[in-house]
Amino acid sequence: MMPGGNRQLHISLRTRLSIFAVVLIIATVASFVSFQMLRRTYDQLSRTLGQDVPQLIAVQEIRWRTDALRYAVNGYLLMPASAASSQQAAQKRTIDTSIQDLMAVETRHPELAHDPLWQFAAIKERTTTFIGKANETVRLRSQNIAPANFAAQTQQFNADFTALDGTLQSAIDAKAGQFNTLQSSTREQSRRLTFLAVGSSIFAAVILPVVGLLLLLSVSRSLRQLREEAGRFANGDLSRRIVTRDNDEVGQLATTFNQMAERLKTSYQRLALENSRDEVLFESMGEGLIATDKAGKITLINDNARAILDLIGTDVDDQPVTKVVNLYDNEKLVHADKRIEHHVLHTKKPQASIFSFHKKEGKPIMVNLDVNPIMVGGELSGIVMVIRDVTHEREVDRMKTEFISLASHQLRTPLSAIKWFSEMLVSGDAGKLKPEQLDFAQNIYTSSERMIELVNSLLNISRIESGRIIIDPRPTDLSELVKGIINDLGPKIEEKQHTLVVSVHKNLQKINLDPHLVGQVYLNLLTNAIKYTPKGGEISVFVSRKGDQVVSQITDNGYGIPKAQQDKVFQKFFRAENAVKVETDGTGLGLYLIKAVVESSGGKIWFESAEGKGTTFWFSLPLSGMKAKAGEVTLDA
Amino acid sequence: MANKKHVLIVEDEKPLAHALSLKLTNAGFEVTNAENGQQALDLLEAKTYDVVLLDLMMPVLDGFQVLEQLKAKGKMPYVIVLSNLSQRVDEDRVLALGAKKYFIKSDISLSEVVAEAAKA
Repeated sequence: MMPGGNRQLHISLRTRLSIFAVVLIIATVASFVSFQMLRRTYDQLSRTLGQDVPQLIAVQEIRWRTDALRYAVNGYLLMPASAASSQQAAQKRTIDTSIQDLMAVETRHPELAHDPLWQFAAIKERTTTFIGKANETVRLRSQNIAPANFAAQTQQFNADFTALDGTLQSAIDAKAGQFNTLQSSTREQSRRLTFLAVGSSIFAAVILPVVGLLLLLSVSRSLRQLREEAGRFANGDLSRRIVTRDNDEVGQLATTFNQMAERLKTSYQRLALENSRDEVLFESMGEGLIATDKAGKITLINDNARAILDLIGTDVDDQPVTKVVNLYDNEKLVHADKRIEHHVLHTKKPQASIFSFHKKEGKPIMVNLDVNPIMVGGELSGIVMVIRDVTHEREVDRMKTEFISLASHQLRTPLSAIKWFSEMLVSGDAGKLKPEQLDFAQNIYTSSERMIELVNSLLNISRIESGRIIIDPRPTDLSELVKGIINDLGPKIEEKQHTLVVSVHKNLQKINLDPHLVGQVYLNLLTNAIKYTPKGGEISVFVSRKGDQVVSQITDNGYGIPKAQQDKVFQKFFRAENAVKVETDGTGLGLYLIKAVVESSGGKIWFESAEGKGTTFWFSLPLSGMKAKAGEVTLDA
Repeated sequence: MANKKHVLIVEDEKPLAHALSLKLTNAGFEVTNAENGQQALDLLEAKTYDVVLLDLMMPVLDGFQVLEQLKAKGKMPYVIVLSNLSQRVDEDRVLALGAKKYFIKSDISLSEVVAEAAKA
């Protein structure tokens, strides 16, 4: 673009070409019309020459033949009466011949009658009258009429002649005037027309082509310049801008090119920025990263991936990733066809898994592979795999599991000893105790049991919170499961003389559940119902199907949960005030634990309670069952 | 009492071994103690016992190895495993190796142990 703007008149190329074409047409038409008019002038002139001139000659002939007739008649009249009759006869023949000649002229030129200029009717009339007078005069003379009358007759005849002659003269004058006018107008017109014809011809034949050529040359030059500049853009030089003085289509095209170059430049800059940012990201990310094409051949690998997979200094470009990197699953080499990279390339769905990788030196490491398909416009173009060395994480996990298991073992051993020895004291294995001693021993025994329960619950919570609980679903008959648990709880129910009603939905199919986990839920809710209901209470269990869920309902008419504390029921270590008063025994961990169990199985748990009236707990589980999970730990029963 | 049931207690924790041995003796059983798996195997080699109360976590030779060797020999006595390992995987493993019962020590009372031993 021209700096400082363009002050030129904005005439588009199209307008210029249109004007040029219109001028060309006008010039051509003008030259054609001039030539046509020149031809018409010539035609007129030639017609005049071919038609009017003979007529003029004819009229002149009439004139002089009239004169000849007059002369002959006068000659006859002036002839003395004594003249020989042969002489008179000769003169009369001369008159007749003159008359015939005069009439012959008229006959020879019938066209005279059609030219109004000649007023031929008048001429003819006067000629006829004149001839009639001549004949009359000759007749009178031959009859020897008195000379007086005769003289009058002669006078009359000559007057007629003069009138006729005048008529002819004026006709000739008129024609001559017409000739003069025609001549001068023709000269003027032909000069003008010649000028116009020659001028327009020169204009059309010489000036216009030159102007056209110049126009064409200027457009072609602008276009050539544009092409050169655009060529520079094409070659990647986006720093220049096309400078154009034109404000026509070519100028607009140049402006468009400039805008395009500007946008390209911005895009390139942004791309370059993104590229360098991606590169920094790519190299600075903590994980190893490998990208492949859709054939699984490596197109990109970062330093971390090289470090993790022992590939530093190895050329792996364009090589199949499954060949370059050997992975093991349980110490067995995973075949290329079984590798998750292969699966992702075929299913186009992300997949992740942990494998072991054998380094050249040291122990095998554990690597987590996160493989994602790269989809471009719905088409698979390759995969990106994120590689993480999880050896340490796995080791920590393993140690955590071991710690929990060891802790549980270590804590339980002394607790078992306390429990067993206090039991023996109470049961008299060390001899009969005094009432006070027995009371102490019983307290030790009960406390040890509570301690054991607390340890069990805490361990279960730490297991479930670690997210490493094994979920091992198998087709489970809920009716059987509930019966089994109620059977285990039989002594406690009897002890408190509760009435128990159990109803399980008829024809409830076996559901794929982990019976140990679900059993814990029933056990916990039923234990609570038994514990927190005064003697002789009513407890019911209903298991029903609702939509795609199986809903279990455990109802008691016990102490209930105070309204003010209901929102804390599922909190860790929570025990309701009224419950603590009636039952000192309890960890406050049961409901927290089973809520976690139900939710990790895709279900929900909720309750309704009124203090002094009772409590109902519900929990739902999907009929479709639980999803299996290869965890590492199980809950203690 | 010639028809006294003979119990082999395999337990490295002395207080626990002591408690078990006292209670079972009081309950009328004849009791022999072993402190580790190897001792237990040696004793079992020499004599037949009506019931073996087997701990799992022990020095020298653990309870799993004892069961494995007994299974290998095809001489499996009536084994009740008493352990403080509470994982289901351990229970499944010992039952698969041929133990009859599995109890968690802290969860069972001595009277229950006596009752179980009496069932053998």
